[in-house]
Amino acid sequence: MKTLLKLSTLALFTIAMMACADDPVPETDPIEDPTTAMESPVEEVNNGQSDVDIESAEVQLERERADLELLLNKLMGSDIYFDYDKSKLNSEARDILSQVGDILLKEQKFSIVIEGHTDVRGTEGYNMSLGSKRAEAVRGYLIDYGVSKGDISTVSFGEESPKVNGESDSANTANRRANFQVKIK
Amino acid sequence: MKNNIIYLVLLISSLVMSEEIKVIEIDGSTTPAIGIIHFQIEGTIDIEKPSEVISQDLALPGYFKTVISPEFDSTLFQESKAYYYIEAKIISQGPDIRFEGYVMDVATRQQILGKSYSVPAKDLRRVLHTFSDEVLKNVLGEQGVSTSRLLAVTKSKGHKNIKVMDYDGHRSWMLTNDKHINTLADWGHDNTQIFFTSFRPGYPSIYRADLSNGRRKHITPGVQSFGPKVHPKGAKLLYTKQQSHGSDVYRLDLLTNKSTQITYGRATETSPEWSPNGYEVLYTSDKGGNPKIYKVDFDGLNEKRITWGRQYIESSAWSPKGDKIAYVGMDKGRLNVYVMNIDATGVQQLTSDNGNNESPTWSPDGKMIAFSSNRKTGTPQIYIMRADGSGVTQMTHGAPHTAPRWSK
Repeated sequence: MKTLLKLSTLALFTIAMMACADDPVPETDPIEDPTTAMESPVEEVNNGQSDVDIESAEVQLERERADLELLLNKLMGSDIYFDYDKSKLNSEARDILSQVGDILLKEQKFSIVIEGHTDVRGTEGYNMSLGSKRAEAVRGYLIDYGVSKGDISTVSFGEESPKVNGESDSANTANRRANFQVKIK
Repeated sequence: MKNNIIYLVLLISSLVMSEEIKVIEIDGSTTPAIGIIHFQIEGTIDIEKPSEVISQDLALPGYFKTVISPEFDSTLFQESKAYYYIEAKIISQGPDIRFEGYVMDVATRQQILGKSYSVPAKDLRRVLHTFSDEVLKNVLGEQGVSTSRLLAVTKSKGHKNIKVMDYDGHRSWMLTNDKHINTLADWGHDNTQIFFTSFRPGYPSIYRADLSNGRRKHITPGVQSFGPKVHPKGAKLLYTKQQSHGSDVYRLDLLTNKSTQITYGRATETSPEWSPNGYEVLYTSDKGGNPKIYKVDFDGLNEKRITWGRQYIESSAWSPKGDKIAYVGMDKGRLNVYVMNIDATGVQQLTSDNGNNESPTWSPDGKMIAFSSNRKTGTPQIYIMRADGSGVTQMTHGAPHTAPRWSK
């Protein structure tokens, strides 16, 4: 689970991307003047580059970062809902999955874990299998869509990890789902 | 635990009953009565009513109808047709406690059985249960289950952990205590190990814990698997493995670590359960639509469907004598506990109109069934009832408790 990039870690990921922007720093010669390099790395980086170049690179990076974040959010928010005791994908689910498929085909550095869940009705053991069927139905659709098999794994949580606690109809509806966790390859 | 108890048998006169047990008729059934006199207590003990611990041990399984009285009451006992009564003395002696228990004849006031135990104070409950089983053995010739235990899963802050307790819910302790989902557990065949399902690696997988030293072992690394069931003689597990089409039942040989698939339903095949002799397996499959109970030999041959109709049927539990199956059936979206004969005749609904009732598990003597129910408050707790559905008694309180499993 540690390798999974969750929404909460997006900020961290963003910071990591910013760190990448500073990669040129070591390419300057820190041995020559380590103090300066430590104190004002940005100035060192700027050496020999125009402000316009830096700006456009940063803008581009910012855009890429924003795009990636958008896609990640989109994937993480793309919950697929199911009817009671069913693992068949309805038309709404297929629409969402087409969008998910498009993202995964476009952004090759993502791999995903599909988590299958059930509501609390029925027994724990049976619901473990039902969750598995749901995750596999989603996986099957994405593979048919053209997403590489190796980029998709599944896990069932059965009724163990509800989105909404309780046994109300609305909780049951919200809990009968498959959702995505995203890994960066 | 037994070696913690120092048996000091003071007065043993376990008379073999030369005459048959006298029984009384209650609603057409024959349940003998036994009197219990409030125990004499010297010093301080931490059990409020120790006589009721023993009363429950004798009455809940249906062995005896108990007649409790503050003192010897010949008229009450004789009117209740209690031909024997229990009296006991509990003496607190510093860190230790001495328990002296007797079974007496009501008519003659002669001693039938006398036992004495000196134990650390914390073991008093265990001694009470031990004495209960002595009473059952000596008076009825029955092997009681008063010292048996339950596993249950308790939930806190979204995590689930496994708890071990006496069958009556007391003396509980946490086998696992982490921030994962730990559930669907079973006792090893000799009750020294517990096998359970944990999401610790990020997927459901099976672990083993030794009760003596707490050591853990990951039994099915890399395999999405759950719901271990230990063979009656040990050395083998049944479990459910997640498959692309749902799930199937596998048998794992613990000595060779080799797994063998035993169901091939292309649907959900889950919730395996060994027959008491370990040659057959009950499991659930929904290949015919709704989940139903099937039976198969341990090698995967001779599959046979047991239940028919349209009801959602799951969680079969084979009775220790092999003649009955307890299971869960769904009625209007609610789960209830049922019992039927092994050939699906004689269906009896044991719970009704009272929340969800699930995960039935038999006591080792087949007299009782523990289950979880969210009746009353909506929070699931562990209950025990007799195999005919009578005597429902709540055993856990507070945080949610589910998935009980009785020791073997």
